[in-house]
Amino acid sequence: MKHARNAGPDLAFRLAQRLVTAVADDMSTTQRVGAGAVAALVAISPFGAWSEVEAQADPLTTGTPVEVGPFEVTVEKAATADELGHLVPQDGNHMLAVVADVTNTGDVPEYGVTLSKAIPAPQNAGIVPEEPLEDLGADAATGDAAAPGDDAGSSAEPSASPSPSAPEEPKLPSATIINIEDGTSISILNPGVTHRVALIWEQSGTWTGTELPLEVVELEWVEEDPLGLDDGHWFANEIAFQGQIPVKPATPEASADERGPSTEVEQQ
Amino acid sequence: MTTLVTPAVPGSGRGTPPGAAPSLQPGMLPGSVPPDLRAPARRRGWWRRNIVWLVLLPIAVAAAAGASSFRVWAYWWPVGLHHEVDRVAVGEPAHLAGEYYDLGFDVPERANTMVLREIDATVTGIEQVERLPPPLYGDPVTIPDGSVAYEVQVHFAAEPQTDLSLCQIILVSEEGTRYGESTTDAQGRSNRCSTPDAEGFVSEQPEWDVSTFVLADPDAEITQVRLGFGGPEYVTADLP
Amino acid sequence: MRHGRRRITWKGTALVVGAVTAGCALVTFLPQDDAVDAPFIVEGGVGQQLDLTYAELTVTEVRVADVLTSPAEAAAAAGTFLVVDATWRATQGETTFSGAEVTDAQGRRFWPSTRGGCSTSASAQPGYAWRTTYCFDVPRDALAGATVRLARGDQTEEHGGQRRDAVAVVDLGITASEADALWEAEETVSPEAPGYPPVSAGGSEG
Repeated sequence: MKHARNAGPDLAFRLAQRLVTAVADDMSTTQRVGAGAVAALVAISPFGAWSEVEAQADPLTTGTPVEVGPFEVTVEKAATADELGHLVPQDGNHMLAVVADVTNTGDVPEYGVTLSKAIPAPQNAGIVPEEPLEDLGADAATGDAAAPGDDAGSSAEPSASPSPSAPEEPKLPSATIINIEDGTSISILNPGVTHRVALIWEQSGTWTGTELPLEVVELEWVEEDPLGLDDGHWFANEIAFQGQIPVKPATPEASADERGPSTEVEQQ
Repeated sequence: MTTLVTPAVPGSGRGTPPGAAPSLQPGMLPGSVPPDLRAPARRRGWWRRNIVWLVLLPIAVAAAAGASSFRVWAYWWPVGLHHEVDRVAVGEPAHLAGEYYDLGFDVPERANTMVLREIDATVTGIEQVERLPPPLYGDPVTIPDGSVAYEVQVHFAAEPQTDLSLCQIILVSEEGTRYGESTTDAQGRSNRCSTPDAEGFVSEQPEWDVSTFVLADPDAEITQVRLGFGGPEYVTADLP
Repeated sequence: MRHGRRRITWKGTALVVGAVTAGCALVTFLPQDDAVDAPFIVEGGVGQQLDLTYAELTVTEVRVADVLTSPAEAAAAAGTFLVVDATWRATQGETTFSGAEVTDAQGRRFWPSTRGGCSTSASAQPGYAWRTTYCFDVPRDALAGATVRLARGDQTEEHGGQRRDAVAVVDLGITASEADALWEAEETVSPEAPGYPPVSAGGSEG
């Protein structure tokens, strides 16, 4: 009569048990810990633990389309101007615009904010940083916190704690995204539609470079977000493309009407 | 069938007195049959064992549902008129008392405190009108096609400096449709419980009258007037 | 009384594996989310009054434009503007209608924007009709067979705000041949600000 304890699964379990016992019994505690660590390392191998971390960014050149998240972006040029439509910089500064063709290649609309996360303000290019919240006026009741020149472009995430000490890196604002053809502000990018946009930041008048170090950050789709509980959003991860974009200097004429961006940038 | 004699099995049972049949319980005489232990009717046993917890189960479910209903208390209850504190007929005074969080715009001493607002409201008149009079500020409003307009007159009594912001004067039809729920009335006035020339959102006189206009469906039968200030408390005046 | 560990048998293993497989299959293939959360879709065409539980909705007119002009600004379409005029009449209380979305024949979704003086939502009370104009910047191949989805709940997070709520889906009635003609035509539209529908002769005066 065949007893249950000799059936297949039980037999396999007991054999495995015997094997482990036979090996582990002769080991000291230290050796057991070491063997366990080795086993763990072997176990995680099929899950991609050893793939190389991408550190290189691909080159970014004008006129060449790049894929970033749901967008296809072709940077056309960079230009500076004294004013761009309703965007007026502080004295001594000017506006910097990066002109690009952007297409939403997905099936659902995307926010302009997502695009500005993918193309952050260039580092070390004299971009005027965001004003910390505590400097924006003592009267909280008025609620008016816009700084001139980067009103629409102010970051959507104000810092949770105002920086108490000076040596912290100032946070650069996200771009104001303007549709070049009509000067309107872009908040939604619908699928299949190509917009020619200007990404605008306020730049210090002391910056005298001729090339802009522009970075494009890859966007990763986060389906489930156990940490921030923000399911289904595009997360700006690492720099995917990097390039030097030649900057054309400002034109002498500055027009203040709403076709400003078009005339300004077209004349470069 | 119970056996009286079991084959002797070496080592089975302890202290079996020599000569006695091993199957008998100690103290029993040979020849007698051990009483059959009544096999417990399993169903009855389970019920008896669990009856207390079964009774507590519906209570526990209700308590769990209540404990999980934080969102109802936090989000739904305070926004919208959910708590009727007084119900009268048109022409009689109704007493509305409710707490609100004062921001201190009109009375700085009350800033950032919870304040009890008490006000007596009497609906003195409600009738359909053919045209909307021009408001004190702004353009005159035409009654749109497919709508009728009602004028509601209310007499208020309250301590001076009672906060009157977010006032709502609502006409409720027989079907439950609520007309005039917005804090802005048909004329475009957004300070509905104050007189037209009032400057702030607090009352100035101990008693005053207001008149507000509400657009409604032509075939609606208005049965109630409700008054509230955005929060859960409200009072009702029934039409005859 | 049992001593020692349970035996692992074929029967036991089969039971466990079978139960796990059955559970996974049940969760994967039964559309439980759809059944519990599905909105109640009311379909119709242009000019048809649709009865949603909280409002009566009529899409009154559909236009296609390249340029929108308003007192505040002028907007030029990157693709073309699909301009949808709708009239809301609330039936319960003060309601904000946050959902406005165009879906094309391929299933792509398009959201409205405020460029050119258009609305992205509407707010109304019972007792009057309220006119609103929505504008969607869409590509050429989205025109034929496009439908507009209007509702009280908003459409972000896979129409999360419309769960178990009434939703209107209106066929805009653009055929493939019409789509080409509409795309080619150079039209300018001035969207009207939201308000009461225009007074016809014989209405009450203010």
